[in-house]
Amino acid sequence: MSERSRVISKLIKDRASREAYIGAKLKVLIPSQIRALRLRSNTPRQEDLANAAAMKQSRISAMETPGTVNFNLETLVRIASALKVGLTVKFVSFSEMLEWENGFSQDEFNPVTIDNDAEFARQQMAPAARRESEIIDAEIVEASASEAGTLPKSLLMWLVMPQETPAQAFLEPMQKLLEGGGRQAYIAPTPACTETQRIGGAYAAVCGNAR
Amino acid sequence: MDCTILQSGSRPFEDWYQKELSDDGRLTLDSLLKVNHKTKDHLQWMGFRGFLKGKAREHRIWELGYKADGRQYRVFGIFGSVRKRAIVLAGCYHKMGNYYPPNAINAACEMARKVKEGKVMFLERKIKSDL
Repeated sequence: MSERSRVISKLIKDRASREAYIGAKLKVLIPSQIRALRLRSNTPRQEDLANAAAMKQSRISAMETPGTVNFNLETLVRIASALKVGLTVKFVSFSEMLEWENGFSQDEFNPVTIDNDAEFARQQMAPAARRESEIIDAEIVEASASEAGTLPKSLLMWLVMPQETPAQAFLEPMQKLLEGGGRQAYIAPTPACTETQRIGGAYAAVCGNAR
Repeated sequence: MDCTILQSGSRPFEDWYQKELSDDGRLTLDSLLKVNHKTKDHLQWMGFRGFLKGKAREHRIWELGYKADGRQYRVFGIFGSVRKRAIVLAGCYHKMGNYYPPNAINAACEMARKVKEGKVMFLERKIKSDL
């Protein structure tokens, strides 16, 4: 019997083996995720994360050492919120867990933080436009300022600009576009077209067309 | 991190791995190696504790640390001449400033010397396909 078959057989038969197996994966993968997220954050020092999570630096250090901390949900939630990411805990098949582990790379693990989460930002920025998008079958497009004038007239628009783009460069074309379509056009209330908002490294503005 | 050492007569790492480690310790180490082998910068390896000092310094032996079944485990290794290859030399656990087995560092130094002299064979560990 190969080593692999022996392990599988043990996992099938023995609850304690399954417990050790699951625990071993989490003991490494949770600390690895925390470290990856911390290193990619704007404040990569353990001390910064500790401050954000209202913990001691030594506790963050322990959390990043495999097996040292028995994580409870409260701790994980606190760390996730300090790192500005979400957290899912779900029961899965063993094969799915193994697939997750095999596919995991600390170097590549990089979930979007909430302030860079375009979906969340869009929801926050354009409540009126969102309402419209439920009524009309709106499309969402990304475009540069120079492309704004060429877009179809009934679009719900989502413009993402380089950070240095002056607001005038895209607000005027957008207004003309919306007003020139023969439909009643409106600019979604702030913080939308009339007020740009920084999202990550870009400015964004959202406008909607009413029927 | 791609391989472990197999040498007839003395296999400090494999013997420790097979005979001394608990299931928990073995599985956690497997998972640790699996994550680390995909991390390019060894300074960011999980559990990386730096290079040993003292006698082991000349061999550039590094130390990985992790905890399982209530014990602080240590694994010693070196980087191979082939790029991106890490060679695991020996393992032990650590308590109150002491290593168990107490000769773990000496064994690691001895293996490192043999590696340098080309007196060992390598047993490659297929980390990716490990359970």
